Amino acid sequence: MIDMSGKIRIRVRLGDYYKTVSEVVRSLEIATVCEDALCPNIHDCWSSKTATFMILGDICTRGCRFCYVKKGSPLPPDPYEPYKILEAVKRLGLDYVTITSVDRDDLSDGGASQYVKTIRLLKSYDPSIKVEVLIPDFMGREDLLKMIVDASPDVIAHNIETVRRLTPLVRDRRAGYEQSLKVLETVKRFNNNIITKSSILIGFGEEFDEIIEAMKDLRRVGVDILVISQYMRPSSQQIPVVKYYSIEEFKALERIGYELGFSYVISHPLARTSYKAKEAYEAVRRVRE
Amino acid sequence: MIREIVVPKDLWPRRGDWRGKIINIYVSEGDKVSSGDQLFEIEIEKAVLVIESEHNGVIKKILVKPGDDVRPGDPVMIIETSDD
Repeated sequence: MIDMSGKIRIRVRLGDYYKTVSEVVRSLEIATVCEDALCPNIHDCWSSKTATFMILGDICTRGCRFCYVKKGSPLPPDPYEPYKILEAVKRLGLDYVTITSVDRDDLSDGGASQYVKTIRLLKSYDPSIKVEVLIPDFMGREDLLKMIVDASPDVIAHNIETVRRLTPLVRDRRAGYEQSLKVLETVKRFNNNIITKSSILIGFGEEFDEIIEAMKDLRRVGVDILVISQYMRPSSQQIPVVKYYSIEEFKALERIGYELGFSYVISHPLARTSYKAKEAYEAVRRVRE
Repeated sequence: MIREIVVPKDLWPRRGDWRGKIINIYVSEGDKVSSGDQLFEIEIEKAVLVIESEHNGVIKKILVKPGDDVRPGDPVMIIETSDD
């Protein structure tokens, strides 16, 4: 529901499942992007016993101007982190695990080996567990992307975040529109069977045609799942919202997404990359079968 | 049992640094409430949080007014619960 100011109204009642997730991530000292990005869906997801784990710490080396995650100099990666994630997966009984991370430009491998360890550990515990990773651009390095692909996650997501023109305004200077497209293209080139996914946040002042251009670019590099969602300013420290889109506009973008050939499109103000991730994955599997 | 209703500090448990403003209060002192009833709204930069009751009971005291700035953990109401 959206109120007169355009802001989303979120119903909050912290029930038992919510408290279970909270207790598990707190006791294991695991970061979740649900918390660190002040995700508006946290109540919805945690109450359904799902969460998106954030590995490689909670401090990002990049300074994207829409993001609430803490920025600065991170600590060395925690060698026990993959085991903590596994323990959380066991305790919550998850069969679909979504993992993301902060960017780690300070590490020689950008944190790729921590992703690999975590994916392999989960798959070795139970090969039927599906793992979705939302990865950084790894500076576009193909050797690091190959490491991730070879660990065989079921879905690899990488977000283009915004349209081409606004990329320098919205994202860190080390990120790039073309670089993100290349990341998604490279993943498909290494393994065409891996499902890829990307998100566009809208509301930064982009034109409608620019959104369509970004969608076409993502389709051109073979992206299967498209997520389009409303930018919501987390605090006064991030760039302001220029426009709140209507539900009808989101529906129009969804229709265009399907016309362009995406296997699954989630276009909704509150959609986020990992939102209803299992449903999107299963829908793409059905399309492929 | 007498309980304090607070600005939810466990909504984003690892981030206690968000701030908000009370914009609506839907109940009065003496009102009976049920679990799930809407109690009050907090506007934060990102959204409007509609806080629902976790308990059945009677609102004994309201400690804030619309326009008050609040942070996670701040007390908002006192409730005498009947479901403990």
